[in-house]
Amino acid sequence: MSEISIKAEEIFQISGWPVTNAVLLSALAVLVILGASLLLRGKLSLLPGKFQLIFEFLIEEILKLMDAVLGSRRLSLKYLPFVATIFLFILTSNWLGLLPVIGPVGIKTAHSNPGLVPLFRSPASDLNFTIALAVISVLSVNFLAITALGFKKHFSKFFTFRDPILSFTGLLEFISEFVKIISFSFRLFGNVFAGEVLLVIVGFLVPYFLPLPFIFLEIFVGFIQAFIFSMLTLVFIGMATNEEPAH
Amino acid sequence: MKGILDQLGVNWRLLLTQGVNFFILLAVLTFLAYRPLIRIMEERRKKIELGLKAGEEGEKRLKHIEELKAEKLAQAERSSLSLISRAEEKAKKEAGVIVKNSEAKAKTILEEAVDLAQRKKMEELENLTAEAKNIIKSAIVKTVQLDPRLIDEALISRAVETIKKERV
Repeated sequence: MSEISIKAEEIFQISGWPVTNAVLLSALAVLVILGASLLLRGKLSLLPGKFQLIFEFLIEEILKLMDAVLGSRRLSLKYLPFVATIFLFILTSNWLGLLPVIGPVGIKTAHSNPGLVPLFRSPASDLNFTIALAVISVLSVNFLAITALGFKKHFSKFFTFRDPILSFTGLLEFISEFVKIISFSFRLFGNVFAGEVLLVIVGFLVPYFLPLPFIFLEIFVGFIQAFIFSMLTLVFIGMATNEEPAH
Repeated sequence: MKGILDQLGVNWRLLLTQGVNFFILLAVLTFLAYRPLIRIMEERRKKIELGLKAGEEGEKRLKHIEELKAEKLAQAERSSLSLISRAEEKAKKEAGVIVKNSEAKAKTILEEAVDLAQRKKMEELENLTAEAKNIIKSAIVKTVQLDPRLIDEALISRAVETIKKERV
């Protein structure tokens, strides 16, 4: 049974910059999406093929969801790249992490003790990935709110001296912005890491057939977590860019 | 705090790497997928809208043309009916004139025929009278040439017969 580590293992370094197995799979996910995008770009036409139809369906469904939250197609189109990229990146990373070839392929590194270190690791099972996305998400929400409402108006939600109750709730809102980062990152990390651990244990205890339903469960969890992350980001964008105060 | 983060493997370099990964993906997807895809979808939507509008307009025009056609047909029917009735009226009038003319002509012909017949009759009568005179004259001559004693009706008849034969 392979060792379960909460940290992503370092595979090599590029001029002192560590490259872990989670970073490798994350880069692979970027390459896969990049390849698919290039393929799509080359095949774009007014009469869509199957491949283009899948992307169109995906984009149309995301836009519908965004319309429901933001209430306007114009705003949906404006924020689509950000929200859809979060969804696609997490989804692709989660699903790539479930491929049977991902876990068993190992490599002997300078840091690894006698055993082999997995070459790839699901990116969301590394906190660096989830925290990075959470920080980007929260910062982007605030940045988009500033561009939509203006600096003063946006920060007046957090810091107001009109009345003590509003000042207090504003402060809580400000603290909640940091809590969001923790909530975003640990939710995704917890779910994916728990799934990885579950698959390793089940695969070790009952190697044939039994892991299959768990793999399906993890496919579903991977989708749901990507969906939740992107939807929460969308809802926060919707709330932050709205003129009405949330509290 | 640093200890906890170390335990969890959080490293600012890795955070930055993952962030860069995300932004590369965002840029690539925006320029290679979202924008072209949305442009194509929008273009298709516009074309479909345009097609539907054109279809609706075509339908309206067709309806208008159908109405015009029906109106023109009705107008043509009306004008043809009036033409027919005028033609019938004219034909009736002309027929009346023709009938009148022919009646007049027939009357003239009849009168001429009656006149001719009258003249012929008179001529015949005159001829007959002249012939009768001649016959009587011949009969008298014959009678004078015969013996008065022998004159009887039979002889006279025979003489008349002879004269008749001669005439024939």
